[in-house]
Amino acid sequence: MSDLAGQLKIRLDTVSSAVTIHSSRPVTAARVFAGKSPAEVVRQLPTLFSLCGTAQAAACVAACEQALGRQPSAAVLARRQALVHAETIKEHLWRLLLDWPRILAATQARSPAASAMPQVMRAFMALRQAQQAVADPFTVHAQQAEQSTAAVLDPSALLDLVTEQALGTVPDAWLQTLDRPAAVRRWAEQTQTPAAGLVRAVFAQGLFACGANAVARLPEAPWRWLAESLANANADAFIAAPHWQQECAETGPLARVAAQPLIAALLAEYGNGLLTRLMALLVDLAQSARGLEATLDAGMDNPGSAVQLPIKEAGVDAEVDAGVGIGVAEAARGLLVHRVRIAAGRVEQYQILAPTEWNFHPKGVVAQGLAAIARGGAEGPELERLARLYITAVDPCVDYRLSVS
Amino acid sequence: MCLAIPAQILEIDQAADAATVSLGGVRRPVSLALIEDAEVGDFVLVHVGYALNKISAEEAERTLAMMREIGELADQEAESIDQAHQADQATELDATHSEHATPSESGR
Repeated sequence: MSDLAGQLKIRLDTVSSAVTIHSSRPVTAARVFAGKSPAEVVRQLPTLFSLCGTAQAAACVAACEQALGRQPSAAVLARRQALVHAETIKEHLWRLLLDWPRILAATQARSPAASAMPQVMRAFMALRQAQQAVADPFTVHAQQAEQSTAAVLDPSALLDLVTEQALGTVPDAWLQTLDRPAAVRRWAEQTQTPAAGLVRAVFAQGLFACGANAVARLPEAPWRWLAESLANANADAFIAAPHWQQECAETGPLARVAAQPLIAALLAEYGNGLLTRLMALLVDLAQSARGLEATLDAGMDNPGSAVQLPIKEAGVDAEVDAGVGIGVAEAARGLLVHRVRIAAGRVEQYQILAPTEWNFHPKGVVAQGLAAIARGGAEGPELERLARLYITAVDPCVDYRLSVS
Repeated sequence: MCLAIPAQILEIDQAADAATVSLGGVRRPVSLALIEDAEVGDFVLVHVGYALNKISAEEAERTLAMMREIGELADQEAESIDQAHQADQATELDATHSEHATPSESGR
């Protein structure tokens, strides 16, 4: 049972710089939903994939709604967007407070930043519980979904943690100030948050371009390609090792914010190495915080044109058959795609394409990044530390085992 | 696709902010860095060595039942793949060495 979540086995050969990645993740686990009613699947699926349960719920309900020919109201959709933003904030703070510090400092000792993580979890869970206490917006029952918008959610505890633990200032001001690479160093030196400490460490250790490689990022709206690939007879192979028109592609925070001015400049200067990745995580965090506030404030009418929305309207473009639905949400780690086929009120087929399969593809961005690190000349424990840092920067949603030989 | 697995807390080490849980009958250490008020006997969702949050015993049982179903589906699939492999091997005796993990390697 404990092995059910699967594991990534990552091998790095220092002589040839060859990287092999073997995954035992249960990529076809979603088959368990065949034969169930859509309402049952929407209820059960997020409890099974609970780590990113909100994004899973969002993709699931969107897929089922499309297959059933239903459309949620703008207010319901805004509420779902807000909750996915909140989950991304929780996940990004986890990386920044627990994972990056442990590896960047090369110590097993608990970082002082870690003590804030229970507060993050509490703030996130409080939002979810306040929502559940009124009604769950992630449901195919239109009336119940409408009721959910009556819940009054106060995101201030979670947003305060974003400022205190990461940005040092409110998201809008931070995004405006950090408009070019030179501003990053100044911000890091003047800011006392744990996240600023991470940026200072990346500068001090000279890791700006560490792991940079040429793997492309998934384009913004690949819906038709994804819908076709998932409808294909070879869909299982695609789900296990997805590709964008025969090429590996990256999904996740960096792909989401690549066009943002600071990140575009960092990409031009340092490529997709560690500094760019860390700053992309922070930009995505700031944008998610802004998005959470905007989608809760504006509610149905105007979530703000400058705000990124994690739940995508993929189904329209995808041109799927009747009874088929595609639901897409940008989860913390990247694009999450659900596809469902419903007939006579029962789910006939359920598929999930998750970000880890793009990023930890045997020839994908992590494989290429680790090969680049090995070619850079690091050896022994330092090579292993840098490899772990790069893996953490891309972030698998599963346990991994790294062997360097 | 990120499965978090329900487990029951057996012991708590306050000083280390850690606990021992029963995960499918196996004792495993987990970090309590993400939760504040865990007690022995509580059910928690476990992911990559962290207890994520507390859940009710009923919720734990429902999730475990679904996971058993997934496990059975995976076993059936592995069996059919094995049979296909055996058929392949029977026809391709001169196949080159496979680099796939052997069953003994893939176990934990």
